[in-house]
Amino acid sequence: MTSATTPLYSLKGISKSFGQVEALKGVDMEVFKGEIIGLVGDNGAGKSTLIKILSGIYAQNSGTIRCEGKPVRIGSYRDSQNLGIATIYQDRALVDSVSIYRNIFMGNEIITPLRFLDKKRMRQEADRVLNESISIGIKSPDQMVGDLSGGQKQAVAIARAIYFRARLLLLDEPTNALSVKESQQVMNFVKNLRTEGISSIFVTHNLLHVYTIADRFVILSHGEKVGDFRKEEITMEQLEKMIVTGKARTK
Amino acid sequence: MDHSQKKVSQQRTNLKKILRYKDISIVIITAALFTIFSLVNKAFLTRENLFIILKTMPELGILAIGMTMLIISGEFDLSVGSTFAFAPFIMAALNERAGWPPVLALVACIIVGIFIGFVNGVITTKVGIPSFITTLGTMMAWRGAVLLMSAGFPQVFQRDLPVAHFFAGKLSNFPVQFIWFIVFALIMWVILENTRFGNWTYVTGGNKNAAVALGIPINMVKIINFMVLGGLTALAGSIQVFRMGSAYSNAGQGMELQAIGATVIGGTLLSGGSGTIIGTIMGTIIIFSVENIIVLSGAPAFWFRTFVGVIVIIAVSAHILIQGRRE
Repeated sequence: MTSATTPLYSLKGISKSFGQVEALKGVDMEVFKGEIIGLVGDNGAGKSTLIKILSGIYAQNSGTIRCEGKPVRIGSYRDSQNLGIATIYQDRALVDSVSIYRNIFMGNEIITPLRFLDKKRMRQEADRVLNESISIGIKSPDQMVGDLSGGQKQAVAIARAIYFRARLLLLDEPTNALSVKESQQVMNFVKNLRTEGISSIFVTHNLLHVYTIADRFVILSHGEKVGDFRKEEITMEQLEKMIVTGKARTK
Repeated sequence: MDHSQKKVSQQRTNLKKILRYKDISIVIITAALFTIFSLVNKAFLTRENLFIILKTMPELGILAIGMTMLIISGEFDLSVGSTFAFAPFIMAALNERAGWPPVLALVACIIVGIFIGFVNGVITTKVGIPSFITTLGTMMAWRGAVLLMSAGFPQVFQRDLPVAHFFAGKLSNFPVQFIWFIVFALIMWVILENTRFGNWTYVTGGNKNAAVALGIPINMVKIINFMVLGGLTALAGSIQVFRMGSAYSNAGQGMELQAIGATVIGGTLLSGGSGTIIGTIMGTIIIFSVENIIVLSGAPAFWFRTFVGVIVIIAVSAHILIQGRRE
């Protein structure tokens, strides 16, 4: 296999149950470099469970995950991070009462040889990544995250991912609770990241958002994959119908 | 006109910046109280009186800075008042009854304090009971234990021992315990502001889910903060024993609430994730100067608790008002 056709990440036969409830039943999925995937489905379809397996919060009961063709085990958030996967959570995984730069480096602090925080470097790096990758009117990396708007918070979370060289962003309902303008900004970052070769999995209820931005759609229903289409192959109406009925489109 | 409007808005952002630097407001309040007290009562700002304040304050202060760390990490500890009596009582008993060298007895006392914190932390995080319940239980348990050991009698401890002078003596007419208070406050400030552990303490209390998602060992962070508080409490209790020359089984009663009071007055949020050491130092100063001015004014000392209660409410209300203005 050449590297061009090897998916960056591939999932095969992923199953996960919680007691009696089967959240995922043998889901297959591939993610290629620089691709935005819209992961869609009704409530309880298993979207969040799949995301949480990739981010190391849950372990699958069966099935394999491969990274560039090699089987990998994602047992913790750190494993996931080391594989280049970054999760942008619904609650954004940010701490309101702490400054932006501390948030960006939270859990990955830069320290001096004496094991103290290297605040100066963290500030500089935070400033750089915020200005280069995403400019969204953040004045200083010393601002408290609690003082930022929803879109700005999302930007900080994404800046953190970019800084730590993520290859795949997992965006779980990133536009939830954001204004129209802010949603637009978040989608613009994700699009810009694609040009830099960063892939994204975009989980959302908002079909309009996901249809605008995604290159491919993976449709889940009751824990099973019922569809996998490139954008050219499906219209928004067909996509909506599939989510509602949970049945594959008959060609 | 446009220009002057700009200037006004510039001034407003400057004001906002100052208000955002939370500690400023509490420092100003403390200074104001000090000024008022010294105007109200001429005896307040005398050397002798300041000496008394500086000598007695570190016992609560050392404990309160440990409490601040723990509260920032999202938990709190009601058992400190009992630890404050129990651990030093063991020190005095080991020294006087069992003949242990005083320094060794002090080390044992600190270890007991750290162990008590460890127990609180493990029960709270691993069993998953709220720390309010865990430490309410251990508060009664350790108080019972010290009452049992003492049978109601104080345990003598020699005040003239070198270890007592080292922690609670005088350094050219300045109370040494205050120096220790500053030293521990500095250490804790450095830990909180300039180390990974401090960063993790903020995130653990500020957004537990985020902390877990970022791979931060939140249970370990909490347990360590419980242990640090336990150790500091044992030391603070020993300093009182060094000052009084006896360990009392009823020492430290109500101190848990005073420590939480000092922390909250200093702007630390009980909900966790936010707070500073400087704020707590100011909170401690406020509590002690209020107690002091009541005594100096000849008012019944019982007023003290009432006043502290009122001040806690005023301080937290002021904090919320300032927060509201920021938004």
